[in-house]
Amino acid sequence: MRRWLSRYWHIFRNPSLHFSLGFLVLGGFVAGIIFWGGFNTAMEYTNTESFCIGCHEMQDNVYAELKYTVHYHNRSGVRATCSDCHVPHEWTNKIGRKMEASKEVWGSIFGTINTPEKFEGKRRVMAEREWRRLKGNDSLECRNCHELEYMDFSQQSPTAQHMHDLAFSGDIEATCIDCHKGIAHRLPDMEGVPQWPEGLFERLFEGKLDEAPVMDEAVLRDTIIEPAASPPY
Amino acid sequence: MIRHVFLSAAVLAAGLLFNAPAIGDDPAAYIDQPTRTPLLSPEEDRRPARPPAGNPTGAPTIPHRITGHQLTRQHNRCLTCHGRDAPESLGATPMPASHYLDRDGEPREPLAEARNPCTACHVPQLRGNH
Amino acid sequence: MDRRAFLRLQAAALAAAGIPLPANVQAAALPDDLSGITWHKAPCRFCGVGCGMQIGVRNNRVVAATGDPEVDVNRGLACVKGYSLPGILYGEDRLTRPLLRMRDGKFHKRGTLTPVSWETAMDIMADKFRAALREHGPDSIAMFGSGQWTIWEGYAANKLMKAGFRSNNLDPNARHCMASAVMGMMRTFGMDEPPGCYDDIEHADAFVLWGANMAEMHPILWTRVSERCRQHGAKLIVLSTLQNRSCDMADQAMIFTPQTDLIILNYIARYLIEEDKVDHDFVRRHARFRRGNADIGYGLRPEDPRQIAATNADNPGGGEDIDFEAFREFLAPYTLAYAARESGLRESELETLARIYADPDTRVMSFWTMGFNQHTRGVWCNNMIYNLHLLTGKISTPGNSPFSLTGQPSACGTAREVGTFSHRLPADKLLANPAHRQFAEDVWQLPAGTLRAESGLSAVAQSRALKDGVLKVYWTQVTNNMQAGPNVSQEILPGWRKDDTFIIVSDIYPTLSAQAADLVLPAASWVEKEGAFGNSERRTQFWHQLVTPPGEARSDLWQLVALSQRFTVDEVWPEALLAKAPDLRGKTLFQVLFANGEVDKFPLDDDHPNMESEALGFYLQKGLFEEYARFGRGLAHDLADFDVYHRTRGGLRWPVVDGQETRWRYNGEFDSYAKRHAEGDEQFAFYGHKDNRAIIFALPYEPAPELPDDAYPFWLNTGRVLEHWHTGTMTQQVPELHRAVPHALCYMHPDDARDLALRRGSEVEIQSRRGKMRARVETKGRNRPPQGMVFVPFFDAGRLVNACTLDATDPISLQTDFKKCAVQIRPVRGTA
Repeated sequence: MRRWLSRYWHIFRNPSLHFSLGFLVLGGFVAGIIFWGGFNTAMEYTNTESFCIGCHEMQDNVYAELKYTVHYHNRSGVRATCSDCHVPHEWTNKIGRKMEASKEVWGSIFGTINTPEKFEGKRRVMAEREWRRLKGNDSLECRNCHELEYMDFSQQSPTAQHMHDLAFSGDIEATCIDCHKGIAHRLPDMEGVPQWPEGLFERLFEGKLDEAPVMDEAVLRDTIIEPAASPPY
Repeated sequence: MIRHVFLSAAVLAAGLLFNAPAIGDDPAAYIDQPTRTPLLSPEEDRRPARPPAGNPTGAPTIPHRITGHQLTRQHNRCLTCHGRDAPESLGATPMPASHYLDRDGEPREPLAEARNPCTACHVPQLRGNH
Repeated sequence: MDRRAFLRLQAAALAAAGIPLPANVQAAALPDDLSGITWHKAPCRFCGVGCGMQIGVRNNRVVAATGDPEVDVNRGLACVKGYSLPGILYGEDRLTRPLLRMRDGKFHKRGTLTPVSWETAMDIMADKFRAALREHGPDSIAMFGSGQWTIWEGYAANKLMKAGFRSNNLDPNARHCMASAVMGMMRTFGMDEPPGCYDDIEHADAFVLWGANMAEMHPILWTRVSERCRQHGAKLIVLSTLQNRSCDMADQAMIFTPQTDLIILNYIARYLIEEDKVDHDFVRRHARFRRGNADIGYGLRPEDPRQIAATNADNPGGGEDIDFEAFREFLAPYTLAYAARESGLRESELETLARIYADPDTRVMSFWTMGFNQHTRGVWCNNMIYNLHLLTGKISTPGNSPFSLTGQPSACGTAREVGTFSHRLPADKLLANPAHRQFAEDVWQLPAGTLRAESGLSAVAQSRALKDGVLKVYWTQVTNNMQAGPNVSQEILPGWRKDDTFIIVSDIYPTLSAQAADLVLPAASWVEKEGAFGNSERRTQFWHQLVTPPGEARSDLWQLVALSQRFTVDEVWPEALLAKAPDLRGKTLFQVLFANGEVDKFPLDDDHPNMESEALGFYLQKGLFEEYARFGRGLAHDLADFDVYHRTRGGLRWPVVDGQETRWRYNGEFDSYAKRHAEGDEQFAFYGHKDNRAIIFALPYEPAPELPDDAYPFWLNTGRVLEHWHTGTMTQQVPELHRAVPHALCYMHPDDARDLALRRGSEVEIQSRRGKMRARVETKGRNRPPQGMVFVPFFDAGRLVNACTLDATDPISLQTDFKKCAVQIRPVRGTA
């Protein structure tokens, strides 16, 4: 065995006798592209929804739940797939996430969550892992699509307008996931989980929200215009 | 103005049921011919919470959207804003003391469990809460 | 008595009448809103839960309603419909005058509904009844009543139809609602109505819902279940054919293939036996076994091939006695693997469910409503759930309770206890039983042979008989069968609009039924008259008349009495019967039935006037109730004295013996009748049967009559929503309820919608072999059907889902299955 290894080590170390340097450089480059492309393609494939819901644990639980939420089904038809929220777009983070995902393969093989009961039992743990990750990266995946900078506050509910205004102005240290938990899947038992950014209200609100007039198209419409005539029978 | 809108809505409500599909003298013509259904519109009702039917002792309506709000065994989204821990500064109507007493009058936190199915007594007013 | 006189009398009585408002309401409501209001007690107008309410009246108008904290049912709570009660009486289109279909100044079947006087209305109605009776006999008239009748209205109708007109064609809409529960209990226990009561909720360790969406349909009981589960750790399992709000609160929601509940029930029974979890001691002492007839058809018209093919269609209720071993063998095919395969449930789920029944330390409460009852094998389902409770001895003790919930406020009180079904008499007595008929004739002081033995026409049979020309005159009260009955366009509408039928509808609003009628009688509702309801747990609750009805509207009781005054017995009874009672000759039906020395023996109550009694000069409701109570007193259906119910907030649960209500029947510890019947030192006696035993039934799985196929690929399931009561005629009048749920929607799985190129909000036409309707698609609402099923509620008069439903019934209970038929779904594009 040892001899066998040392022989190949020898071949590997010696300069090439048969191929030109140019060939080796070009060949290596092409091989690199093929390898790299293949790797990326394979990794992209693991980012597709069909891959994610290839196992019934995802298909029957989280994906089934997603279908009833705004991230699957909404006014403009823009939707999020699994990887949009659960895989970072930036390369190093993505690789890191993929390494973590090897645990999920393990889980799938050994059936850690292969029944609804087991899934329910792990739901809090799994949710906490995602909350922690998003808290850690300042809700990076949310912000790939939702950025405070591009929001029209007047289209939002009064509460949302105030919260986003505070977050946008930098008055509070809050990230999306602090408030927006359970927006794509059902929440676990939330006992002890804070629903708002910590210390938010003590620090920042003195009066009630509704004392400050907010711009609200619906309110304006309702007070000015009569209710619509009979619907079109 | 608000008052006026309210009255119109009441008339409209009655009309939607009986006046619009008025059968007239030939019930067969109506019953055998399905009519068009109005659109499911995202129309919103931002009038403040009020009890139904002008009942001063009734439970207030839910004046905001609750579509997608989780109200399950695991989690009650309503408590996020209406619960004891939610700050008054949020402006959400706080729950009265009755909601923290169980069937036997014993105090309960964070909510008397009988009160957990909020929509049993409070009716949402935004279309789309089907 | 007119409106003014009532108000004068009531004003004098007011000082004594009111009850104080609870402290929590006083604190919560603005003083301005409550000034000048007097408060009274009344049960809620809506569902079978029977919440006690406090009703606020000001200026002869109901202006407030809140839950009564003194009533155990709800302890101060009320649901969205209960809080909306002040709105239901005052819709703009309330009927206030009789309307007759007229052309050129007289009745014409194709005429226009035109206001007429009560005198004209009652005269033409009497003429039509008289003509039908004379030309076609008593079987040519029929009446369709309601589980929303007050107790005395149902009782008066029962007397008028079955004894007065001698027609047993009287049925309540409760036939659509819980006839299967009735027949289930009659077969298993020999007596109707639940062994337990709501108090079981506070004792149970586990709840199993079998086809009951309590979160929406019994919201206040749901709050009690919620408290028990969340505060005391009770388990909640929901079995359903679609995901609903009850599932949202469940520890486990089990979505099974329609009709396979029969298999699941038998699998659990098999599990109990094979795992040796049977309480053999209990079974030996208190149960026996019976095999019911199988292959019993589907209650369709006799010429339907599915009826012809059924071997026991003529004797669906028959069977033979068997023993435990035979029962065990019968269950052999219902293995775990078979149950899992057919139901679509996982084996582990089924075992979890079976273990709940099997564990001797788990007190189980099983609830069901329309999932079991509106089922072509509904009686079987009822029998089979009792099997599980009997095999394990989990019955008639606190927390161990098979509990049939009812839909209507007095389905129990009026339809069942008063016996307004076409085969019944009060207090579980049957027309077919000569001794029972004689008992009724004695109480009613009528000659022997007045009552006829044959069962009359049930709900669905009445519609068919109208269409077939057998029925000529048809009167409905407090019900809207044109919207709520099955197969409307083929089987209901044609009979109503035939040239030689005369249809009378008594209602408070112009319902679809009213608009399809020939004569519309404006009715008084709820607290516009004195009344009594009986809820799901045998609780009888009374209320006084609190306000006057609008315009010329009159109560159903007044209408029944008014019709009885227009007939003499000589006109409607055969000579042979008259010969037996010569002293009755020449008397009116009113004199024979209502001024008979019993019904008219109580003086008026000056403190609590009501319009019917004031008009007649005697306390009509009290007389009717006390005569009716004679049917059950001393016979395990004991009702308390009339005045006790008026005094008692929340009423009492019968049998009321020595002033004490009964919470758990058949158990000597709680039920004096069980104590009396029990042999030796036995604790239990199922005294509905002579041998004190309840019956465990061997009943198989049989498929539904219509299954989805290539042409009609979807199951159609129908039902209600929280915000609306039945056909929506009252709740749609309340702006907040209407706004919350304005239209019926077609709830559908998102993948089915995608496959049909539909989106949430798309319009679809739903077509069955019988009819079609249109609705908008909802893919993420409160109801989430599995693939291959759509759900459409029936409250919406503009979207008649009952044009599609199949008029197949359980052959034993004759109750329609509104939950299963096959439909196709087509998109409606553009502006078509």
